[in-house]
Amino acid sequence: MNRETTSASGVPLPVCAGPELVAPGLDERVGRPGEFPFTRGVRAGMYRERPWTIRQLAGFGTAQDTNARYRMLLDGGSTGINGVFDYPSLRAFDSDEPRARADVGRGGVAVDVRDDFDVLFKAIPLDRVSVSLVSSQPIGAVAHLAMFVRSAEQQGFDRRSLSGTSQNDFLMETAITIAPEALPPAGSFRLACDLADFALRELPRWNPVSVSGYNYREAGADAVLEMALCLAHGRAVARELVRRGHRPEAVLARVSFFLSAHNDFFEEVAKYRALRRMWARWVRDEFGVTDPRAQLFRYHVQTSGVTNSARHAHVNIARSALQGLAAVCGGTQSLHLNGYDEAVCIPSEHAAMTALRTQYVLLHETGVAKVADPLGGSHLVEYLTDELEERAARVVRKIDDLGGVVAATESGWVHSELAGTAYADQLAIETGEALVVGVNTHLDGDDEQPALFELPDGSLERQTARLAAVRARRDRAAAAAALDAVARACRDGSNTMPAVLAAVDADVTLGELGRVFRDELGRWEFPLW
Amino acid sequence: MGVSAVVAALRGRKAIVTKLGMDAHWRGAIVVANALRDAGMDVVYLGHTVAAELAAVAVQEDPVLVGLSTLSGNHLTECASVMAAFREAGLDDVVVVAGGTIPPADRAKLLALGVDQVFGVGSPLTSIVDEVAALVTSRTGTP
Repeated sequence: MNRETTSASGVPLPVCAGPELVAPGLDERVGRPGEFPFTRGVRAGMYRERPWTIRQLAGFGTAQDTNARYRMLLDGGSTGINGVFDYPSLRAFDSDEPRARADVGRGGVAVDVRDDFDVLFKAIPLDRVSVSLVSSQPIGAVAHLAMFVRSAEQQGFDRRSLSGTSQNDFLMETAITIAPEALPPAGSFRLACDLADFALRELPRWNPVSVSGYNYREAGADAVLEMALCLAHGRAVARELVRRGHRPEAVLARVSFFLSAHNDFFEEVAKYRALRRMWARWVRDEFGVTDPRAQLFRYHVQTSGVTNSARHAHVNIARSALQGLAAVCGGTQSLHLNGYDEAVCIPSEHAAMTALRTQYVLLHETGVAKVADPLGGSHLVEYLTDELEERAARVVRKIDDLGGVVAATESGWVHSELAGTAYADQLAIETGEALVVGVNTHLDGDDEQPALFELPDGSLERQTARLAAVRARRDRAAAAAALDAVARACRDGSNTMPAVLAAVDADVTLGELGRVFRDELGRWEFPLW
Repeated sequence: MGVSAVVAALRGRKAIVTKLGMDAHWRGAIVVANALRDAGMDVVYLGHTVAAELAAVAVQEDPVLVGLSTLSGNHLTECASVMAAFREAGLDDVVVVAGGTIPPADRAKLLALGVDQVFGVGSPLTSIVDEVAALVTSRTGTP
């Protein structure tokens, strides 16, 4: 691949795109905004009708620290909460577990018991603010949703009024950020579907799965593999939920996606357009569903952390703004811009607020929000949209040939694709084939380092003290019985969510739930190397 | 073919690459593991370990190099545990390097713990391979 004459994913680029690049039948492939196949956007009026949700990721230290950050962002103009959990909480280990202690409050907020959610969402109107729980590994996702729902109910909210998203992506456990003591793919996929099954029955405003193409991309995927894994995964979830007895319309209206906004501007715009079209056609062709709400490919976008440089970190403001512009030109429904310091730490207040304000520059000052699909009809963008569609469809067929996304993960195919691309990309930077400002070109000048975000003092001590207090006050017999019920649900194949909700009421901890799931569903030797 | 030809000091020698704590971002660790393999090393990627397990594996596998990868900010605590476990196990000759999102200010602290080299964000693979080769050569006395 010659990186100077192809897109980032290897699509050949002419120096000047003309009509000859675009296959006949464009009107039918593209249509109108808000109409099948939704290439041009999910609504006729796009952002005039409703701006994208401004959803900045936040989480660090203890629930108290993060509650303050949520409120700062909401006061500053965020229109949704994107709550991220620390590494032990994502992977369902308690904060006082020896191997977890060094990571408590790092990369997200520490939570162990329902009580932590009471503090985390204190004085936040959960019936009006949509909350994305960025719990990727399904054990954590199941436990966090149960704690969130029970905590919200105790604060007086009806569970049917809660709106938001669980990330709940089984690939995150098994291929993307492989946890210590990871569950096997089939067990992880089952738990993810248990959560979705429960949410479809009980939480009508909740998106129970957000297929996380963003994270596939950060781990190494190019745009084509990001698309293909999203589609293959989304299909697998939808098929399983229909198999469990849900109506396709109901399932498809609730499956959502989370995509990257990477560097290659036109390819990224084309990626979003192609995905909407591919998804809508698949929904129609596989299920015969014609309800537009169920045909829409609904997604959140985050700008690409892996493209950010530690050197000349302020330049990341420009990178994030341009990536965000691609997301908006591509018609995203929700957006997070990375803080400029995220190559070295989680965002400081200054970086978080700069990113938030950049979103408002995009919305109010650039004019791109006035028009639906502003690049539609561009020879280049239409050509890339068609090419990405064809290439991604080919990879989806490959995954189908491997037995589907779960089998493709078990076999190590997903890992080898990701790791291979990650290494190739790094080599391209090393050899100078790909130029990155501040990394292998334009290294000159002062490298003014941003002030690093420091974790609040004593997070570990405060969190483990809270956890110890809950353990001391709870009814031990009731907690043990609740854990037994979770184990039984794992064994008998029923949905585990009701037992997890009951366990949360008995003040069972995240780590205790994690242990039961790992004991019952097994531990996995992942084929990464 | 990787970024460098096979490096004489590393050829056929064993390296262990691992991640510590709960951070599970493997991209950096795997990219470096690939570069070490391309440089001729026999690389074991351990996935996640805790200090005591890592020391036990190192005693058994007898590597010349152990690479610790971290992105979550846990490096000071976790590297201190590893170095203590290595001292206790008598693993004084092993070259230990750390890499990942490690703020420049923490570099000296890691070196003081006994880590031989620290590769922060943006370290080129070529310089990682070259520096590791120099460390292995000076530790083992053979090129």
